[in-house]
Amino acid sequence: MTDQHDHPRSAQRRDFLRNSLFAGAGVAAVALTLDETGATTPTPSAVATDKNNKAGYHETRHIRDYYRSASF
Amino acid sequence: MTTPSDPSNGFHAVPEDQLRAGTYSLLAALLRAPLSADLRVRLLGIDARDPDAGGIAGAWAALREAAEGAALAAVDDEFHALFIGIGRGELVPYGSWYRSGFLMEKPLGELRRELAALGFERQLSVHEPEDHAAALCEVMAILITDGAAFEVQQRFFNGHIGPWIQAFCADLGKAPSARFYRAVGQLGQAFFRLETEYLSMPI
Repeated sequence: MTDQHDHPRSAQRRDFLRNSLFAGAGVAAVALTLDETGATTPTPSAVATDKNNKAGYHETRHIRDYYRSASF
Repeated sequence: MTTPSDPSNGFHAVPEDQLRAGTYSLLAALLRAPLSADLRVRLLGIDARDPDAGGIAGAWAALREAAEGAALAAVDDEFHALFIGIGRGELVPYGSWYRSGFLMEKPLGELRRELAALGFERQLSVHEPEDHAAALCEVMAILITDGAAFEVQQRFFNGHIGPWIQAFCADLGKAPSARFYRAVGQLGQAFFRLETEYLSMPI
């Protein structure tokens, strides 16, 4: 299995992100801040796959939460 | 579709993708509901201090500064004026509106087909369209943490988010009622500009 991150173009794209998304002091720390929140970063446990659904659909807690809160 | 907890999907949460997913999730949280006390505290933890730095670093700093001066009740009023209003808010945060001038038009149909193909299903009890900016940000966050291939992220973003989201963020940044949400619009513009460039790179 080829890791998609090993491809040269993938490396190019990673470089772009490193040089742009992380540009500026403190932004890397923002990533950590977001990562620590749990609630603002989807975690593996937040993604629920409905294995009984033969159509292959799944719903996620995030999608459910969104729609529950969007009762305007 | 495999999940990040499934090691067979070969996905490693590299810091760049953690930051991308975290930013999508944060924007979703900010656009979905009025600012909560908990989220405000988290925004105060942003370690970027110079709003004049320009680019995304300046946008992060501006968001932190906006959170510092934000009174939750006032931000709640602002959210309602911007997105809910009487009849409708100052802004309509739906892709179909921005792309066709109407709610629930052809772009929504295309989005629904794509969501179904990706394995997302809407709750039966839900009547809100799926093309709300917050919902689309959530889907992107999930695709990234799910380890979806670059081309899948690229197709979803370029098909359903890229064509309109920067216009929406620009409107948010200058909406008459926007104070705190100006900074949200600013971060959205800076972040989606980078995402547009990133997701236009060759496969």
